[in-house]
Amino acid sequence: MISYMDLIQNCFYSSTKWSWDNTYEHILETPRNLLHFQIPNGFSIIASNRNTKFNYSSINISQIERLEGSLSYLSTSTDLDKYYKPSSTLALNNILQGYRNITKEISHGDTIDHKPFLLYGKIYFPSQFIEGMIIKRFTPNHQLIVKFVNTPKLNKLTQTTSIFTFYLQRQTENSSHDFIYSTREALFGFRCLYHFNLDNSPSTFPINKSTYISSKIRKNYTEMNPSTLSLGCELWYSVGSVSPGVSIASRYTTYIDTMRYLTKSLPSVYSNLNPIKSIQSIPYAISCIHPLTFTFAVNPLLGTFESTYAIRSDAYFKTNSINDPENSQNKLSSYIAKMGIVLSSKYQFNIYSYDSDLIVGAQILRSKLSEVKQNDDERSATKSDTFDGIDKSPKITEDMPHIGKQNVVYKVSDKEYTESNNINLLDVSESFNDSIVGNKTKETNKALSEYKETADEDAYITSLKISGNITKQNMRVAWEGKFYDWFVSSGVSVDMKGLDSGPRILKYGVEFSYIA
Amino acid sequence: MNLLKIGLYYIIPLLLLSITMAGLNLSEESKERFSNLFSSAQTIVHYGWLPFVIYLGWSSTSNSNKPNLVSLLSPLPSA
Repeated sequence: MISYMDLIQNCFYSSTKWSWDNTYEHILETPRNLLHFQIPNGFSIIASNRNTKFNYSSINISQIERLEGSLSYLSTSTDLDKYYKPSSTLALNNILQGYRNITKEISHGDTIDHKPFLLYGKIYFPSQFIEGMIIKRFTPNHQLIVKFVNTPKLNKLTQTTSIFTFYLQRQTENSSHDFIYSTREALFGFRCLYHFNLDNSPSTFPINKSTYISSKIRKNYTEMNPSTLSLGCELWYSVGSVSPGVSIASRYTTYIDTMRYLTKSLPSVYSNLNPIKSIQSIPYAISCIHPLTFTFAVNPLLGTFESTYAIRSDAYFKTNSINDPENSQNKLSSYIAKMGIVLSSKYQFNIYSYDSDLIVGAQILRSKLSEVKQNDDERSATKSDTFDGIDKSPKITEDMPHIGKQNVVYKVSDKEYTESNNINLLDVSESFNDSIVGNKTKETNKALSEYKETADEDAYITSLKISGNITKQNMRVAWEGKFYDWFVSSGVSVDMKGLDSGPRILKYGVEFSYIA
Repeated sequence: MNLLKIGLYYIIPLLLLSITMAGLNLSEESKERFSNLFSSAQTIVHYGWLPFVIYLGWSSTSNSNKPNLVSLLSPLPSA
């Protein structure tokens, strides 16, 4: 679970169109979140508040071995109204650290009309240790980050206890460069990251031929490339200790894009005259295309190789029960819940020592149960309802050249399909509302309004993470959830090797967080 | 905004200069001066940083929405 100040920083990046993922520093973020996730230490309570439109504050009181705390303040020059939410309305998804969908949020100079900045400070008690940060955007693609720490009680030592680190970052749509300097041992660093969009062939995208599709949908299409390969490296050199450092990493990630898959895989179903028909006619078997992330990192100096793999899947679970047996209309209640499962693994190997290690992990997410009431008439009407007469039978999967029957994990519902394609559907409906008025549009709007009504209900409310290290025989378990307006995070780290007394608990804790 | 410029253009470079100069071969008197300068700047930044952050956000707020001091400083929602 990210901290409150990290949440505000993410809001700041979102409002100023800066991509948090587009840097070499975060290229291994997905396996890091799934395998090396943080566990709260001890018991802590965090209360956060938005004091003014540009002021944010947070207080943390924790009991580990003794009572400790911290007080942090943040101010920005940007109004974050569009992205900031209190915990009463903030979904757990926004603060969970898990599988990351790589999307592009690069500003092209048309969204930032000033040079925004963000200032942050945090002081710890009773140590009075202070940390601060300045983020200053000079141009839409350049920003400077200054981070510093200071420990006043160690000032009597000969070595300075103030450390400044400067990051000059540059981002473009397909690359990012970081120049780093730290006053600690005069450390110089350079990071670069390049993205290569695989299967990026707009000429084969049939929507381009349609005059009904707005430019917005094309933008979404390009922002959600199904396959992206990222390559990067980092170079370090410490003048103080005369020691270099280097690492190279690559990441291959896919993004579920059913519309692209649809248009490429089923050209016979697609119709230029009615794209909605083609979209809504394929609610089956699309779920077999799961987002996945594969990374490979090398450190030549240390001789370590590590590869990670992560895959995410979502599924709906629906139960039917008679809710009101005394009712003569025989109303049925259906409870539907969304569950997400993320699996990840990491293999490490050292070419010098021949040591190897395997870490496996999983994350299980669940949304709250939503009740869906339908009477018999509506159910029969729903059953007979088809989208413009196109049969939604599973025989569509037989026509898919890229999907084998053995790969079809489950059959998704129309609701899930509608939600997974909500962006595309919204865009298509916007473009069609201007040009088409009729029953088809009304039906589409009805489906969209139903989706909007139920969108909040699909937010995840609990998350369970488990990871295990095969060689070291360590296991980490973390549970995060939302209880009323409070975010609760708990976890435990266990050494399974154990002694005679059995497994040994290395770390455990519970954390409560409230955002006003 | 002026305070931000002061912080960016004066205090931080002063600190960096002090850190850099501390590693050079200087006379004892110059070393002592830089040491005093550095410790003073360090103390100013250490205890002035949080008020500086709060002031910048507060100054950006319009006059009609400026809260009282307790509401400005308190991270608790009821204040």
